Amino acid sequence: MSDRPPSSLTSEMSDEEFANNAFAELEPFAPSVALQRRVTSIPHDFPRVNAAGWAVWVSGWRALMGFGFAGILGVCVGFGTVEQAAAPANPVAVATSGDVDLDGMLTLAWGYDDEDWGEE
Amino acid sequence: MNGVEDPDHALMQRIASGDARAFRQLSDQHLKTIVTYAYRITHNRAEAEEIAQEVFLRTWREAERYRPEGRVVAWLHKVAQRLALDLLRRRRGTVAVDEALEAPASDNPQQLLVRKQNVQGVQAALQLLPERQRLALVLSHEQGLSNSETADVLGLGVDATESLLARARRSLRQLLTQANPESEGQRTQ
Repeated sequence: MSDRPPSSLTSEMSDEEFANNAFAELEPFAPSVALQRRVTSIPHDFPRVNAAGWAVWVSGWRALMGFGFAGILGVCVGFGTVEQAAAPANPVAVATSGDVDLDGMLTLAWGYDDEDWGEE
Repeated sequence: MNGVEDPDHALMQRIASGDARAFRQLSDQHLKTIVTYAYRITHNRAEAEEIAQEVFLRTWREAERYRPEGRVVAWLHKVAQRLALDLLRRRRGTVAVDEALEAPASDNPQQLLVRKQNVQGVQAALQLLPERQRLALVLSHEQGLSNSETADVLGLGVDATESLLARARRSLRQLLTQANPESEGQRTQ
């Protein structure tokens, strides 16, 4: 920082020139390196999704969810159909015969029993 | 100020579409002026840097909503000023912003002013000015904004801004000549 007086400020100047010269005395304010780094990394740190990006994202999500629900439903239905073919003819009768038959309940609930998995 | 030719408008459009290189170009161009302006309001380097960072974060996030009604640099100053005054409001508690704008920013800069005749003298003189006068001077003489842009940032009419600037220049001159009797002597000779 300079010690010289603001000798550039003289009586002959207009107020505007005087103010201009006064501000010329001020040292430039340099942003710190850390601030420059933080600012330049904003796009990396805060990735933006613009309107087009949102549209793609939303439609993608909808497609995924549509596929997901349909897929889950399809798998359940398909799995249940195949397994029902191998299940006892009337699992409800087993489950409602008065005995608590967990295998029967499972069969009722899930459409399979332990035998389907090769258990004795 | 509609239809102002400003190359930064193209940068803002690119930023709105997520162009990080355009953002970097804009921040390289204006970071220094924005942090300086924030510092002139807050007198605190850390706060000024925080404000400047927030200004550019908002620029990145809200570029899509930017409407080119003036130069981008004036818009950046406006955002910085709003953030800085919000910060001052929080710092000063219940003092109204308009009151804060008119109040001297420093408690006791007079002694500083008498002692210093150099850069610090100019800084001290600025701190003696009412906030609105100081901001008008900074925007016009340091930041290089036009009178209409200065008016826009300060939320005043152009005539009122020109009048404010004239008063501010006169006050600055008086303060600096008080602080520098040699200059006062030159003036009265």
